[in-house]
Amino acid sequence: MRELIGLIGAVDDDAAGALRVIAYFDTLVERGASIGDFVRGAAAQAGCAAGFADRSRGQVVRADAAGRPLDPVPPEQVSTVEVLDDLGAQVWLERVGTPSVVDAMVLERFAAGVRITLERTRDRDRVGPALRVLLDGQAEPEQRRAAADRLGLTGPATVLAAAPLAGGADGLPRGTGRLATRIGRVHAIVRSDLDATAELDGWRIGIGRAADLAHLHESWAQALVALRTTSDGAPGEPGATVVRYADLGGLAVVAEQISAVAAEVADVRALDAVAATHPWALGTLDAVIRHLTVRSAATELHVHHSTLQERIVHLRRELGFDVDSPTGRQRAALALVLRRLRNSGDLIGS
Amino acid sequence: MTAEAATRSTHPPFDPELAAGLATLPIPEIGSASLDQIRTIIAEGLPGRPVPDLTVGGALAESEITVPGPDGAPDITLLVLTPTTGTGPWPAIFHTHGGGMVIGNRRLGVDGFAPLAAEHGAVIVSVEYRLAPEHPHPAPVEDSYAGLVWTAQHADELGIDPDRILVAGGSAGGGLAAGIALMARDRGFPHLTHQILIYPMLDDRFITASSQEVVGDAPWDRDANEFGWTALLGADRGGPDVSPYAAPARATDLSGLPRTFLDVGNAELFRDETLEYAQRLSAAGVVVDLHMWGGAFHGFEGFVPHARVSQSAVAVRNEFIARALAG
Repeated sequence: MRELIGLIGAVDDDAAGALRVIAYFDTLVERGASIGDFVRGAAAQAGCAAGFADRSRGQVVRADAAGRPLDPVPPEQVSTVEVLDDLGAQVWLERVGTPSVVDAMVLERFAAGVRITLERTRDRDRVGPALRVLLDGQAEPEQRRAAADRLGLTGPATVLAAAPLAGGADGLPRGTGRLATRIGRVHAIVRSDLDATAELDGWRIGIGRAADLAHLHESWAQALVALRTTSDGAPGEPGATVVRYADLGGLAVVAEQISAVAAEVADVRALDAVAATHPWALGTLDAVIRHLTVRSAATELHVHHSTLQERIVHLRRELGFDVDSPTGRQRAALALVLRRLRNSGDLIGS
Repeated sequence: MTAEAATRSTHPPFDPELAAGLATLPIPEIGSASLDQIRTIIAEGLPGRPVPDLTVGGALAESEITVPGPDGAPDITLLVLTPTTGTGPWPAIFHTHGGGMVIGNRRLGVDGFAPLAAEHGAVIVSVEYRLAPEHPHPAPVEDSYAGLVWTAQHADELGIDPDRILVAGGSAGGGLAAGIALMARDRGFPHLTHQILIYPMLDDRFITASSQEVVGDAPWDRDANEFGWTALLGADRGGPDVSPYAAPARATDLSGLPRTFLDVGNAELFRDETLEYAQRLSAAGVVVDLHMWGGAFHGFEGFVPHARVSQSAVAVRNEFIARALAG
């Protein structure tokens, strides 16, 4: 089947040629194509070499009509140029001999596509550094204000800290909007809605308090604290994967003060040991301390209450305290939190 | 075709450049109504469209030979391209053209191999096999095998080293190349060094996920594939009695086959049968190179040659063939 469509599609007149140019570049724009895609497309559609230069970066991209890369230096002769003055860039065709009837249209579409791509990628390139300044508590207030200006932020906002769940992909989460960047191993997301919530599939998220522009770095710090208390969502790991700092109460102080290293107390190691041999252990413990009665915990766990009783006996033996008593519940709850803080060392550093 | 089969494409999205190229190309509907017209276009080319120069600027000499077909069947024509400089014996690329078993001729797709033959010194032999539905199985594969046998038996007069013959083809030509490699193994002749199977048509059963994923928005979709296989196999298609020489995915034993190169698009109908063939060949102890190209539809590098993914695919494939010819 190779070449077949090419052979049939070769029925050619000026109108068909123009339609092909439009269809080609429209599709590239729809698909968010790269600068290189546009350069190769222009060269292929025009049937001669084409190029792009970004003066601000000294970047040149050229391709011949077969899409093969040419030396990235400005050519000696170009037939037609379109200057994107506001972007400091230009695109051109390197036609030798008689111009084709599609040249003007190719160049126009080429320029329009490059403009869209440049605006998108430069926005992305600008957002990251500005966000990092905005959220940096060490930066001068003046620098943070300037960063907020560059980002077009005008009023209070909320900062989210997002990290992939266990086994999740590590790209930038989808649906975050444009104000997102990676800081260390965590993605920072700034949302201008004050009551920001987040349901990002495959991600664990901490949400800071809403703050005005001068204090967004505090919201970011809070989001990180909240993120440390989230569950990584691995099988058998209980706990919420989305946590708001405002809901932490006194736990916020615990999380702020206790490093991942300091969190590894004897009870945490005991939890590790029992979880390693009994996949049900942490989920069961979590259910027991959240429910008033064994029966309602058993219902949530979909086990018979006598089974749950046996598990509680087992946990008591393994952990060395009665998880079903009021003080035992507190101790177990704290151990679960400390264990998540300990585990967050991989995420944020200890 | 199952009743719940998808009515729309569900394949992975196309690469942006390939999608753009596709948007400029009409997708021919392959069916009995269009068959004659498509065959004519392929045979004659179109006005204003340059005919591919199979001699690569004179580096290869072109000739045609008529040789005996299978027992009791008509003679077949072989297109032969021989280097004009240097002396043999050369390695040989025995080529089976694509076209879904129903269209195409011995020249189709040869331009993809000719520059390699010119550069590295190899003879190309491309076989004119009879087409379905006028000539159903076993005509295409037996014609191809007869051409291969004649080539190996007359290696001397063709300037070919009989110990350095590889088979190659794309699409239906990939299926036929795989088929004659099985026949060569089973019938003990000739010896093949490699099989180059480019997005090959291997399986008539429509049992893989990808066999249902492409509907109407890319070359060689589900309907075209059904038409091609039905033309080749008639009522036997998908049934229990299909020969592995017609549909190599049916072969239960893949041991003893030549070193294999496979490439395929990630968004094409033949994806899964190609991946499975690669896996089963490997498990049978065959050395296999496999390349899958993200967001690529069937025949992508031919339809949109300037796209980066097309250039990468061709470069990787050509590098392999160059090594195969040198080895």
